[in-house]
Amino acid sequence: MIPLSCRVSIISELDDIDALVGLYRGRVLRYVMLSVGDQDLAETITQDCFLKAYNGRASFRGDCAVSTWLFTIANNLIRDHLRTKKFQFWRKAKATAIDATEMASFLPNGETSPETRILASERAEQVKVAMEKLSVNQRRMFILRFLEEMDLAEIAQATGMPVNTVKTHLHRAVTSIRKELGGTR
Amino acid sequence: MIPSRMQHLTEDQFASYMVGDAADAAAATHLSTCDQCRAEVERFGVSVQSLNRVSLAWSQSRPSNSLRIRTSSRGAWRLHPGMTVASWGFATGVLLMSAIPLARHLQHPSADTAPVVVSAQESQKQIEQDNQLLMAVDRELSTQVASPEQEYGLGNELARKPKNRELKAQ
Repeated sequence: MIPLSCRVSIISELDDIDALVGLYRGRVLRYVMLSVGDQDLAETITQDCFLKAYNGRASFRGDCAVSTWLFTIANNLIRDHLRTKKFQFWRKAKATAIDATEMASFLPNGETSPETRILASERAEQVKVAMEKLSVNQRRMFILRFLEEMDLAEIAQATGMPVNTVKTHLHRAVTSIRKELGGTR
Repeated sequence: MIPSRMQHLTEDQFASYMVGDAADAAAATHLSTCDQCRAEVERFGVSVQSLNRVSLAWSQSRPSNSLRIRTSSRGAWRLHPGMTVASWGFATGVLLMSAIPLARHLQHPSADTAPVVVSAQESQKQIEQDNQLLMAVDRELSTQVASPEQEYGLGNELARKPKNRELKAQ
């Protein structure tokens, strides 16, 4: 249980929507983008996620991290979109899908050499392509585990699935991605 | 089952280790002694880490509009319960300020705004005055005013002159 003083600071943190967006938008947007595979749709879902979180901040009990709570909301929104025909259209069109090479252009120039950037871009693209072959659930679990570095219990909370189900999805995701990346065994 | 150094990790053991399944902690022991498996784990980690860095750099560079405006119209009253009480108090005050003078006014109407009550006698007198005025106007309108023909004696001359048509016919 989170101490009262921490809860007060978390609740006041939620009161400032711009600060909330500044802190977590990058991670939520990345998660949604890699889950649905469309940039425009990801931007829309992310914005809805923060509006929903802000409007429902009174219901946040503080029994998990704010990021976990935001991912839970994002998951619900993604699930709702998966059911709509609009999403089916977006998935077929893939008009605004972004590849890893384009993503790599946003890496800070000062921190990376051109060679490192190219190498990172190639590796990232390999994983991204491999991820696209996963099921939606496997992909979501994979992002939360390896990009967001959440533990199994947190993923179970964010996705509303039992820990064993999370493990099964992750297990299959890792095996599939390793196969795509060309594992040595 | 703990694999020997030469057997390496199986696919399932590798996945369990990467997933972070504590039940398969034996894999960690093998990795500490097997360079080949450790390299495999590192290669996987580096690839995933590349996507991690690249995708985060992209998502953090995306511009975002302020959502403060979109939320300011909603939930503002919920935000400040004191504001709700204050607004209700203000509304009640305005209502009382307008209701009290109105009630007093209805009970004790002032001389200026009291309705004018005209007695029957005064009313009859007024009617008679109005009738006299109307009759005077009527008389004035009905008096004979001489027409310009009569006033200037043009009526007889016109009667004596033959009409042009009659002259032409002759």
